[in-house]
Amino acid sequence: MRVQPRAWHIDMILIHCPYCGPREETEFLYGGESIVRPLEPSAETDDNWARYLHTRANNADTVSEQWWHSQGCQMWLWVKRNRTTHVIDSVRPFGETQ
Amino acid sequence: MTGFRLPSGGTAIDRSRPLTAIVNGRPLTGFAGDTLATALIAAGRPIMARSFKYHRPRGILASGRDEPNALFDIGSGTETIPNCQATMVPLSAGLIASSVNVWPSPERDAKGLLSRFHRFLPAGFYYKTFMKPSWMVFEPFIRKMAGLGKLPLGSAATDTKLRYLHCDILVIGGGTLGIAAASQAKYASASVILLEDGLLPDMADIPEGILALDQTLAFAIHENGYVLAVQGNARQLRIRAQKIILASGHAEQPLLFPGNDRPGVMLASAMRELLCDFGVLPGKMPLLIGNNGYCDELADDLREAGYPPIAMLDTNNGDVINHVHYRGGKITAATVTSSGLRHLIECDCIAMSGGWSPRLQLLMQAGGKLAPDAVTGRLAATQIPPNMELSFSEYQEGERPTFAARTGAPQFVDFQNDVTTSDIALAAREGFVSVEHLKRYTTLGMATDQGRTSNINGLNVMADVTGRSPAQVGTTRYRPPYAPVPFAVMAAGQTGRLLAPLRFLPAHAEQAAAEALFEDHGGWYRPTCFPDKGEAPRDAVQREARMVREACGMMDASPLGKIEVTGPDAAAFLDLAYLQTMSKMKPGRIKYGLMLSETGNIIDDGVATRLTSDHYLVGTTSGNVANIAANFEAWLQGDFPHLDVCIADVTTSWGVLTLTGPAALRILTALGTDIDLRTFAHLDYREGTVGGYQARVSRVSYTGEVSYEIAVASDALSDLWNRASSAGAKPFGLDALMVLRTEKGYLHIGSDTDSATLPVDVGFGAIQNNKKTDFIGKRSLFLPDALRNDRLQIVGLTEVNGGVLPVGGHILAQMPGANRLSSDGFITSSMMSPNLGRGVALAMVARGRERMNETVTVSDLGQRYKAIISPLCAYDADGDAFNV
Repeated sequence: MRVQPRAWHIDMILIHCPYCGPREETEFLYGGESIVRPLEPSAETDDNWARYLHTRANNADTVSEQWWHSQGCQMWLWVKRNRTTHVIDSVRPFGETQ
Repeated sequence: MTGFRLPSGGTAIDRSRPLTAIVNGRPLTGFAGDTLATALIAAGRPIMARSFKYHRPRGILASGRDEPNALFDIGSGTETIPNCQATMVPLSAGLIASSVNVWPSPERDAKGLLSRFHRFLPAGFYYKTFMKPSWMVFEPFIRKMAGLGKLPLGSAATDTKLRYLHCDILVIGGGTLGIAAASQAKYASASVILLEDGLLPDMADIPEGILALDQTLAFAIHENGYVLAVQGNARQLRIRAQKIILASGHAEQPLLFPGNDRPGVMLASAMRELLCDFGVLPGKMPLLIGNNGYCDELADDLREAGYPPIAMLDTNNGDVINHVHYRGGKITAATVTSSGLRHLIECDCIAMSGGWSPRLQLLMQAGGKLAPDAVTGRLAATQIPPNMELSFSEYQEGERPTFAARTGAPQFVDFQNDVTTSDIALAAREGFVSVEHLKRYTTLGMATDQGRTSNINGLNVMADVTGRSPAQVGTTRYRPPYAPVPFAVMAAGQTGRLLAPLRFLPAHAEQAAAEALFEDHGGWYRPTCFPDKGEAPRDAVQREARMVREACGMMDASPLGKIEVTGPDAAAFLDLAYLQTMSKMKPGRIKYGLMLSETGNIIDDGVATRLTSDHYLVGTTSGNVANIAANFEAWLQGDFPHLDVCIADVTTSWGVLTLTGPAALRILTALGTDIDLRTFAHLDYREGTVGGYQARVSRVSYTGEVSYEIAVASDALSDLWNRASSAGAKPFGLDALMVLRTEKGYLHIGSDTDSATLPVDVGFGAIQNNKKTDFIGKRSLFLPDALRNDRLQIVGLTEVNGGVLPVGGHILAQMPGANRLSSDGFITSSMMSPNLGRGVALAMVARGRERMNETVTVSDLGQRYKAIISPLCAYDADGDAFNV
């Protein structure tokens, strides 16, 4: 079984991890746009639940995202990143409110 | 006259060290310090190439990295580097160089006839001509006629190096301004790196402490000051700079006139460099034409060398060249118009200066913005990123010469792609007036020189033809790399075994000694099988699968994921993470579970072991442990922060030996253990010693035989392997494991399931109705699509004659109300079963569970098979093997 080569990647973005300092993006795994899980999934309508699963803002400007510092402190982070310019506005741990 | 070496002069060459190279099969002698180009001109061999489309003879146009014409394949055989610019290749003894795409030589190229037909081969000709009977008839020939260098097949493996650097200030460009900027930064106590594409003649001029790298080209700028550079075609540099100072200087631009591509016509700066640096002149009677004062500086140098210009033309006064007379491989004269009068001027080389445009391509890569100047068309920065600074001198320049449409000899704009002014006029006539269309329609600026000597003229011509200013035409986007970079350099640090590094098993050496056939399984180097001498792998797999059910097989199962989950809320957390309830099991017990994504689809399966009330061990499939650990952390940190749980991926700390088969109990006893094996039931977990080592032992089975998974510290596994082997256990590989689990109908996540599979599809549909607490994915199991009654379901499939069915074969169904067949599912696993003596298969079939014993037709690659839908478990359905 041949496995796809991993990490063929020239890192570009620097992410300032609040625990580890500025680290290159290859240390992180991207976890999609920030979403908040409904507290009572069983109370959600099918449509609302489907929206939670699949619908994302996907703007071409600053979006709140989830990143995991997998090669570092292993903490999840809220990252406000501009998807056109890659400028990162803020990086905060999951513990804090967005 | 074609070119010669002056008796003295040339700051870059060492006349005491002659060198001989072989160029196009003939010896070429020059001096140390020469480039291939300068040595060729000095030797009177100015025709170095044939142009891409028309195969017109070409010499050099420019100096250094901007040269578009003179491309050579350097070296021979597998060491060949194609498409090198002759102006960038240092002459060396024994160098082998061949002009690209010429035959038999650039002087006598057979395809030179093409230039006669240039009127039939304008930009985009292949959309208009060569259309009947079909473009595909002509395409192979036309493709062969164009083209650049040859890639060597079977290249020698390269081991290009990679180097990381950090600095406060990175200065790109080692000219006067670059060195000044670097010195100033150094004086202010910053850490400074200076990069120069060419040679830095006097390193002593550079203050100490500055890391000055010459023959180093910065070819890409990415976010956050990340700069990629190539050092001499052999090493990749990755530089993270707090601030970048761009001091890359200006690129001289050609002028447009008929015959401006003839060998002997070149940029004024190229002629000046030939003269001053190399003591070479392309001719004795130079004609100079320009729109700025640079020609005056060249004229001074020419006079000093004893070869004053035959004539000096100034386009600001309306002077033009009407025609370049070229015969027998030489320029003989030029027809010019000056002060309203036509003259025929005898000359043998022409220097042209069409102005200077700053090299700002890297600025655009870094996110800045460029626009052509409204009058001259040269590039100017309109937006500079905050981490960059520009350091460029101001150049005086006259008005840019307007382009005049002329019939007759073509005026070249893009020399490498053979784009002429009439091509640009054609593009405008056909409506391709946007600069992006201009580029793609004519291929202007798309050659390996990336338009460095053509884009400005091109947008100026388009501006003239469409009555706009150059600023209105605009410029296209400059992207990395700035100049061609060999793939070997781009792959630096990631070639060979570094591309996809494999992980090795703790008992690798022992398994290698047992003649394992290793392969990459999910990133781990694991045995597929252990063939005997002369045994085919397929036969070894069958033998091993039989052996496990008759005796005792042993496997290094260390890659199986192991995640420790601890804390007062560990049980509650696992109830959330799994489809099944994990909080009710007693310590010392093991339970099989499915993990779902929030969409309800199965992402992993495995067993969870309860050690104490708040300590679990979660098992995952080998390739998936990182993903599951990431999910666990995401849920704990994000969605359920109130839970008091810690997780730790301990996969590689433990080596695991699996003993499986009717004789497994005997082998484990022989290894010596303080665990009471008589009371060790299926799905029990015990801690103790095995073979003298602290061990965690689980009775789980993926084969359907009695199995013990013995986890010890990784470095103890080799010894344990040897002891088990001595006691009579025999190794078996992953392929045999797949046969055994398929015989039992045990799922293989990722083979029998895909990203759309729900628990109900694989027989776990009851739990979602019975488990009252929330778990990841639960809500999705009640969406309409999940509740359909025609979903695919996993079943066994038996070929009517006992043959082996094809994996991926589709079960045919008749479409209702249509005379057409559709798919009712597909075969997910299939192989020969030595223990059943027939083929065994699993398949996902629509409503499969309702259709037991139905005969179906399978279609695969044009063949048809007949098979019967059977129970999932084909071997030992009652599980007698476990009753030990």
